[in-house]
Amino acid sequence: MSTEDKADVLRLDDLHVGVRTSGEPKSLVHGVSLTLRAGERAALVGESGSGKTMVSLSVMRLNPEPTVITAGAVRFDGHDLVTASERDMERTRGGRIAMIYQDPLSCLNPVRTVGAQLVEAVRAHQEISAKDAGARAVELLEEVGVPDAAARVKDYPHQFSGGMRQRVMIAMAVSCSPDVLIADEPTTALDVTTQARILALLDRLAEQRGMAILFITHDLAVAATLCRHIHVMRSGLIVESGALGEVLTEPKHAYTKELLGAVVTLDREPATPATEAGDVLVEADDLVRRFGTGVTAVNHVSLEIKRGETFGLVGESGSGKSTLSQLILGLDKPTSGTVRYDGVDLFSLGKGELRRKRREMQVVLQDPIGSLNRRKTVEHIIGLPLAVHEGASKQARKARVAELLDLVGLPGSFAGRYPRELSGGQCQRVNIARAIALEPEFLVLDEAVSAVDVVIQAQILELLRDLQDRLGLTCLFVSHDLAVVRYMAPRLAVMHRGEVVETGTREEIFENPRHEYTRSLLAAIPSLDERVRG
Amino acid sequence: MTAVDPGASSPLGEPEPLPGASEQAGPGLLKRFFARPPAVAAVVVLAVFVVLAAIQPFALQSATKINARTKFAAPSFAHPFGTDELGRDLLSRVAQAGQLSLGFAAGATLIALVVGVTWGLVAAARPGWVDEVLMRVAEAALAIPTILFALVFVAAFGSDLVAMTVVAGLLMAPLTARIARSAVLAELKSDYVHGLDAVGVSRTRTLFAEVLPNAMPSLLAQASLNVATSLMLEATLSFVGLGIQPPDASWGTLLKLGYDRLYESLWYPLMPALLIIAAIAALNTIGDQLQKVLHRSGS
Repeated sequence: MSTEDKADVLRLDDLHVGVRTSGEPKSLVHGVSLTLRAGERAALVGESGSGKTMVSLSVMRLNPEPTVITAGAVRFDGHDLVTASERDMERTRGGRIAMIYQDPLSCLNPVRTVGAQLVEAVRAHQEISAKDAGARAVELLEEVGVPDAAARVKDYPHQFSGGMRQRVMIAMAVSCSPDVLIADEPTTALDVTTQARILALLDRLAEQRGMAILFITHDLAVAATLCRHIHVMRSGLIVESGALGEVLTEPKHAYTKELLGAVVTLDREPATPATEAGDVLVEADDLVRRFGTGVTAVNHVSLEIKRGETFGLVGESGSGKSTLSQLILGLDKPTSGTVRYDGVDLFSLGKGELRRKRREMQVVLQDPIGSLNRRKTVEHIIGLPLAVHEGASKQARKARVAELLDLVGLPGSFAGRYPRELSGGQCQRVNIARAIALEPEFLVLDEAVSAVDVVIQAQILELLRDLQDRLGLTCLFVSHDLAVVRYMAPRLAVMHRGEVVETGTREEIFENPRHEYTRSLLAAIPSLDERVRG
Repeated sequence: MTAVDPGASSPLGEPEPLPGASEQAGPGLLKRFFARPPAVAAVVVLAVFVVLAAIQPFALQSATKINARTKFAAPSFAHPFGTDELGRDLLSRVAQAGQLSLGFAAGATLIALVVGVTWGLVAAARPGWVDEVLMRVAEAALAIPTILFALVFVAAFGSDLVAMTVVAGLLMAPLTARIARSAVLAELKSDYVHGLDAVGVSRTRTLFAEVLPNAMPSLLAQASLNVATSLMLEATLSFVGLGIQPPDASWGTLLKLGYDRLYESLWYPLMPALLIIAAIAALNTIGDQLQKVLHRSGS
């Protein structure tokens, strides 16, 4: 690329961000320096809590209370934005430096049409008549690929899908032809196919407009798809910077190596199960779940899960995979169809019988912290199933909780802690400990690793495999992440709009996908390797 | 929670949660409540009133000892609040009246809490027609003006203290029920309740052992407002002569007696009035501060 000879457009010099508290000040970002050349695309990669968002907000001087920039400079176009007047900042924000966020819906005004909001954005920085601005809004929507733009300017944000909303946000961001676009996890909330389209759009816009992009993400593969330069951030510091290929192939810092090692890619050697799959344990037959609103979440789905195997269920958000797993667990009643667990029809059981059956089938949910009662100790949480199903004494529970904590790799001292005193990954270990407390035969993992960072995800996946081998668990592994499902499950089903479009072994699905949807899904996954090779 | 410290944790360690990321109704609630100066002040004021009422029979002068020579006395060392028309010590009288006023308020609040929480809990746990019926009844009950109903009740059945306490409690129950219902519903929608279902915990156990304790802080906030409401109700009734009747005295009764003698002694009505104002302000502050700790934004 020809960006090397271009001038620096944005330069952070030893940026420090801290929290202003009544007590001693706490530092969140301690000395971040980076440069962005005109038209360059750089990624700031880091896990949650690494301070990457704090850096991006500091560039715009939009630090949320009580954080403040404590030292350093943000040089943009020869000026230091840290010391610039509020008037100058207002001109810069949106006009010269624009920003897009993870959640477009919360950034759009729900009671105004997107056209009106686009016109407002255009006129905020340009002397232009309302009529011309209106025409410009339509042009912008067309440019970002919103179909039927002339009609859709009259629509409200809620009438757009997640991907389309993000396009609207992008249109707004580029409306004044900014020099720099800061994109803070813009595709994290989107499905993989939508993500691919948004990344392609950003790529095209940046190319056409010579716009520099600072792309904030936790996902190395996404960064690799769009950016040529990578800054790896951890605990408020940039630990490694370099050209994409260099960082990915010859990482220097231990953390970068760890991060790269933890990413589950499609070519990763999958887990080999220690136990052979036996007879059928769970059998779903022609399940239909229709909601009162007329939505059919699960449409005539049948599948079999064999004893001792890990069965994968993959699909994008809204595909009905969570509803299906609820039905399989008997937590939700189907409109029609049956679920047989070990030969017993779950929906023929009485309430009490079904509850007793729960000791054989457990679930780990997506939100690690939210699925724990915040006012109970870890000991109470993990011990509850033992109290409910076995009437275990306090002493017996205490001993068993200590064993379980050890089994999931948490120190015994955690028994007295509350969920909010633990990190997301630690909470998920507590959830797993609770789920295996009764030594169930069947474990449903409903997006169990989706909400944790990649390094923690790798650790949890190892823990799950280890537990599965040790306890001989049968698992239903539900995820939107194809690479993770491929890694964990020798057999899987692909769900799309409430239907299972394809079921097969790992090899069949990933090497020779038959259904068109599976193919588009596979094509959309960002990969680390293609970029390095190219 | 600690600040992110470079190099302090191993590369494998996870970053600690960021400051301010803690849950709203976590176990540190009480600690955060007492970290607020207005909350501490309000609790202290209320505690003083309760202690005063409690120690009156043992530690203070007799509230009934008549002394014709010192009637309508201004505050002095011997009589810190002054004296009444019969020369009785006003501090003692006010403290004694506090037993009735606070007792009435506490009793009514307890009844409102027990009835209201049960009401709300059943409504939240049984969506559908049970919920509909219970909530429509609550709304209908809320439409009755409290004072009016109390006046009619006293006019019809007389001013029996126990009966009045029960009626006041029942009058405040519908609002408590609505708050209990919404607090419990919010909890029932959360992920952890879903997790408990999956574990196989029965609904009853989930409701009483897991959900209700979590909903308690907002119920306590409402309870503190209920205490204030019932104090006010009792004072109003007594002031118009329909509440506590002499020779028994509540703060409202004393206020009325003092008001009749306004030209003889300013202190007489002033002291019970100040106590009523201070107690209600303190209770409202406690409710307010509890709410702030619960739904804290930022700080």
